[in-house]
Amino acid sequence: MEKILGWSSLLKGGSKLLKNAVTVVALLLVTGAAAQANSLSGRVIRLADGQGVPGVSVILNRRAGDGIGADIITVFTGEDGEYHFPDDVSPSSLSGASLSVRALGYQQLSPTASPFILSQNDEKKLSVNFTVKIVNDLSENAPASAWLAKIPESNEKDFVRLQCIGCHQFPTPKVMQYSKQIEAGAVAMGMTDEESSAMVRKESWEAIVKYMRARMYDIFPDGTNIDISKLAWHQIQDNETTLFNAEDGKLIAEFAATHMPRSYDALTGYDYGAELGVSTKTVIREYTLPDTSFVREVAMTTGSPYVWGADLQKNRLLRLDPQTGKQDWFYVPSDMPTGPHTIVGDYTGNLWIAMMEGDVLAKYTPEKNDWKLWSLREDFDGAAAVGSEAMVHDLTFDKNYKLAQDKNGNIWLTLIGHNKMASLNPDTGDVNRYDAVQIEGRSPISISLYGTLLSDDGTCAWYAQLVGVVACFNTETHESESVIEFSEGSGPRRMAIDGDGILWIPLFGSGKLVKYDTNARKLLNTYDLPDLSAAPYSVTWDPKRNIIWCANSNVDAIYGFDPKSETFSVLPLPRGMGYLRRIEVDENTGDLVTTYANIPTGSGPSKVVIIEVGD
Amino acid sequence: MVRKLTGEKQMWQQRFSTCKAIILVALGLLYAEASLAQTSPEGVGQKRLADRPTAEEKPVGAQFLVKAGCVACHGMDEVRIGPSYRSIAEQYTDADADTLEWLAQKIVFGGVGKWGVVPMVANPHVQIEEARESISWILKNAKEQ
Ligand code: HEC
Ligand code: HEC
Repeated sequence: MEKILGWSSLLKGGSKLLKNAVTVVALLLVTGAAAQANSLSGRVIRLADGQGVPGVSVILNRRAGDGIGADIITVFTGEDGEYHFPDDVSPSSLSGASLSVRALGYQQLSPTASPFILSQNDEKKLSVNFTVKIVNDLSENAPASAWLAKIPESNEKDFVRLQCIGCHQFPTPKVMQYSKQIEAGAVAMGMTDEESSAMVRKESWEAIVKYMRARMYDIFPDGTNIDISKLAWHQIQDNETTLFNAEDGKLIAEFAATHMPRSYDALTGYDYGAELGVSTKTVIREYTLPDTSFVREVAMTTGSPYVWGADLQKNRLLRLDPQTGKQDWFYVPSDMPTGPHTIVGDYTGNLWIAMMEGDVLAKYTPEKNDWKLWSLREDFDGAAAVGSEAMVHDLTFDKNYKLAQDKNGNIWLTLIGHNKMASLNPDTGDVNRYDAVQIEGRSPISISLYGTLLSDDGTCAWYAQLVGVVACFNTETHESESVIEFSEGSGPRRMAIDGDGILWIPLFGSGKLVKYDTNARKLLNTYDLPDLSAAPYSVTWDPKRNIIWCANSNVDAIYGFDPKSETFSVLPLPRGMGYLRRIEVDENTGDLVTTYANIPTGSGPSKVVIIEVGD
Repeated sequence: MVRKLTGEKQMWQQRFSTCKAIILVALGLLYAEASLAQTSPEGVGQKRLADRPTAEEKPVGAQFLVKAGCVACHGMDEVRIGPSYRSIAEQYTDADADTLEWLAQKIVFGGVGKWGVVPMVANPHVQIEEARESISWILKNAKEQ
């Protein structure tokens, strides 16, 4: 086992570099076949002292296709700055490929080309060395969260993170652009005194919140019936149908106007906040999908090597063969648009998919290419606004993240549009709906009944409401019990349960991880994430490693939490806009499987990500 | 089970009255610069609408304004975040070619100060030609009949 690199080792040699962000350089030395078995290797050194730099991401970008597997492969440098690509990267696949380097706090110095195009090479092994220099300005590669780091922590900040990282990173380049426009506009209008410029900011951010209520209509699939052009403005802005009501909007706008950076020219003083959890054996494989697809979630079934993705935009499933990289698509057989959204595998090879539109839950059996669709629809008045439908959101899974049914055979579902828990018995088709915890003054959609999972004995469907509640829905009495109340803005989202019945709750807004004992019904501990603006969308329990993986939305990195040492490690992703929603652990390989999910379609990378942890 | 959550919300102390001042500032270039300098990773999201393969015909007129996302901020008669198409058409009935071109630029790069203090976002996914067509469509179709 190779040692996991930590910040302590990275900092050896008096360098603080890696605590900041970068894209780097390359010095190409085409050597004759050297001693290594790997077709591509090299070293990353620091200009200042010629020392190797550990923990740097080395990103190989190949042309997709030709059965090469992942088109983009990332490895990390070791203690001495050395790196090597895995053996399955054949020399012939390197023709025309490019290489770049990325690490917080470093910048490419020479050669000037980045990414660096590898020269044609069929037989020889390549050795590519990079020289990097330390930089103070991290704006180039820092995650979105870094821009929020200097804003003092508060309940309002939690609330804004909860609401404004729900679809896209915050701030994205577009958000930064808008902030710049506000400032430039105020100057151009001569409204530079404190009072006037404050007024401009306030009006502008209030407008943006209203705009976001309208952009919410972007989350639906091709052919959607939820059509913004058929709605009047007051319907779009209606408290009943928006994620953030009028009062929320005011709070968010005031916060943004007061606290969001007014300049995005330079960023200093950010670090990941925990040690890197990577080694020279860590490999991140990225499979590029069409830009027009939006595979926001992936899952696997027992006994199959395929990765299955829910393509929300195109109403279809993706089947990815990680070995070859081959992508096949399977359309949902429905006259209506469905928008495959949440996908969970089971132990017998089926996929279970909750749909964004049409109130449908589906089961897909790949072996027979067979679909079964159930409607969870009730009292639909045909007013196709957000929140008018039941909107099946999540479905119960167990400690292995596989579909879970209670002892009556029921799957439990969260209906986010109605704030109800629903049971579906797939054998009989019986559907029942029950109220989840109600919150005074809030509509169902703004309560946002979200993640759910089933206890081992099937009696508790634990659910989370973004408004700040986690509860056990008793599958026998149909009542909510053991209600855990979090401060507003903390935003419990998608939880996991481990083999000891510990419920792990990610707090999206406040950037925390909560440990709750479901047997004793007791909250045991709350841990701050390394970056409180990481926005953990979900957590996954990794049974073999006993690690809790946090799928973060706003920090371009995955966190691994070790319950024994109670420490986090950081696994940096190879790119910005690395918005994650869910991680699956491959039962066979132990690899982490995920996908990028920044809304709207095409605004962020469209790729499946498979990570060989390298431990 | 009805529960009231704790946590006082900070309220706006006072809502400033909407700025009625109509200040015309030619910000086109300023935004052009700002927008061009701004590239998202790998240029994603910067794709032009026309580049996107769609099964349907290229949307025109009203359809384009929906597809390009203008509908989120403009209504035919409704003041949404920006002015209604009707007011825009009235405002620019006799506009000369330079003004029309400037409006097209403003659609792509964003801008502020004509109708209020809230900036129109940049719409980098819209091609300049599409913006010109949008202006013509608005002027032709949105006038009071
Ligand atoms: C329901 C999904 C959703 C939520 C929640 C959301 N946004 Fe957005 N936001 C969008 C979409 C879609 C875009 C357009 C992005 C694009 O075109 O790439 C966007 C873009 C933006 C932009 C850039 C505008 C532009 O087009 O240049 C800003 C600023 C912004 N969002 C702020 C916010 C704030 C503040 C919040 C919290 C209130 C928020 N967003 C929450 C969907 C959302
Ligand atoms: C985020 C909201 C928003 C979006 C999206 C938006 N606009 Fe605007 N638009 C505005 C605002 C605000 C103004 C007023 C700007 C000002 O006062 O100068 C405006 C002004 C305009 C004007 C009049 C400009 C002037 O100087 O008189 C036109 C024409 C226009 N928009 C067209 C469009 C088109 C076409 C689209 C879609 C491609 C679009 N807008 C998208 C907010 C928006």
